[in-house]
Amino acid sequence: MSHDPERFDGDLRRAVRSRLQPPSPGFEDRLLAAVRLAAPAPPRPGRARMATFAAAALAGLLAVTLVVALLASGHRLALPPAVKGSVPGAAPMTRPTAPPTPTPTPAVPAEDLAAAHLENVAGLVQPFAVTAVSGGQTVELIGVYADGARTVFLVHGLSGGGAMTFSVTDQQGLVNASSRSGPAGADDGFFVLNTGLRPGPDGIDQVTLDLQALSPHASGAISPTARWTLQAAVRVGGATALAAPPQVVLGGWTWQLTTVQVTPNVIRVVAIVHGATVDDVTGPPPPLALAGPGGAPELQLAEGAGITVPKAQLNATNIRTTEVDATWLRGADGTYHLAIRSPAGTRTIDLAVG
Amino acid sequence: MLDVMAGRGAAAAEGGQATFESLLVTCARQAFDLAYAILGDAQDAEDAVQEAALKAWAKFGGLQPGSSFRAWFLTIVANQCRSMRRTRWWRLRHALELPEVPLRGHEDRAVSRLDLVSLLRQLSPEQQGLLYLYFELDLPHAEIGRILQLRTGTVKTRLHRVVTRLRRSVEEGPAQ
Repeated sequence: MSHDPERFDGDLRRAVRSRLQPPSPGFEDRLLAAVRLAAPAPPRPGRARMATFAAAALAGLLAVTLVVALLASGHRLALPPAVKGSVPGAAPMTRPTAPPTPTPTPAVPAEDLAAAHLENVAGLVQPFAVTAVSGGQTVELIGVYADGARTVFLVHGLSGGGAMTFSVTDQQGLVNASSRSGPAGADDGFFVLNTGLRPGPDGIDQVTLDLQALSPHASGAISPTARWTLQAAVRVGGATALAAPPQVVLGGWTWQLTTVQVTPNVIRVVAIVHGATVDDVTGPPPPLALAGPGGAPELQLAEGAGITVPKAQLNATNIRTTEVDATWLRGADGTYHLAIRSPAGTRTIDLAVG
Repeated sequence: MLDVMAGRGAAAAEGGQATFESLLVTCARQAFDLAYAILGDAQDAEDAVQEAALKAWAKFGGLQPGSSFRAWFLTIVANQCRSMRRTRWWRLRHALELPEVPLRGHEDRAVSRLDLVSLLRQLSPEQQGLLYLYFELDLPHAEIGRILQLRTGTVKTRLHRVVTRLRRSVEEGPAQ
């Protein structure tokens, strides 16, 4: 080591440089992805409608039943005669009459697929023609999409308007998940569970979709006016786990990534956040955000946060453990960038899809 | 040394985000190096730069036309690093880290005092950031002062002190 001042400066310069190390691979991509996620997203077709129903989904994490105003016209339109599988003239609140097995039908209308964000899996939507009649109105299950992370029912004949609830059961009972619903094409609607079904060894799940129409009275009370039960044997697709770190520590929050998966339709992340309450992780900004291979934010289809124990068991410790569940529409194959946020900062991890 | 000047109305104009991204990419590595010099941890450095990038994007519209984007962004990075170091979590985490093992033998001391890299590790985060900006980025004192929020005279004084201290440590040679 030189003692000459000029040479010493040279030695010092080299020492400073030698202490440096390169950032991890993909650092700049993640940086740009984080900026793009923070920037106002470009408008996308159907986004406004999605946002309307996403608000309902956020509030509905704990139940499969979701009350949603479909088409508040206030009067029922005349319906065509009952079709195959229905029982004509059934009284209000009658139980279902549909056959349990699907009948091949023409493809589901493209407008319905777009409304339910199923365009990227149009070929995987199973067509059905299962009908039920109640209150003089016939509804028809026309299609189901089911994978390991998302289940969508497409129903025709909902032109009557008013509010509706829905629930899904199978051999194991109620399928408990966050949900949302909304209008699709003319007279159509979609009903989404943000979870996979529970198929048997043959990959089929016998499910029952229970729809209930509700009408408000002048007193403010709401009472059911019709109920349709639609049964179908649904083939359930899978989900592929994506490589991701098991946990991410950000300040006082530890994100334990319990599910990071991709299906043909969506990318889903479920995490337990240790150190944060439900209020802490409720945005804006959202605690999780996903950018696609091009760096643009992916369309978020569902997001929710909830406690991890029954409410009665909450205490000062476990109230700071929160489950976060988020689902995005899947785009092109490539490297996605998942931004995980906490008050201490943001960490972005790469997810290789495809 | 490459520097980037922000164009007039870059943020407000259409394509402001693209402009910001192109400017960001030109100095992302320098920002990481500065954060790493101050924080001493690569993951923390990436987090700091990312957070700084988000803050910079939010403030991009306020960047004066013709001013140096790099100096402006490195200032935000340095502030972010200071903020991170002030958090209770940071202090707790680093309080739990084991200190460097004290040197015992004559030969070990000799090696340590001659090893500039080891000596650099013993400097404060601020000193390490200062040396990085001066020796690696070749920034003038005034610009270093803007980034580290110090007066130019203070930058000169601190640089002189830390370099003198390091030189003496090397010149002293093996402890007797």
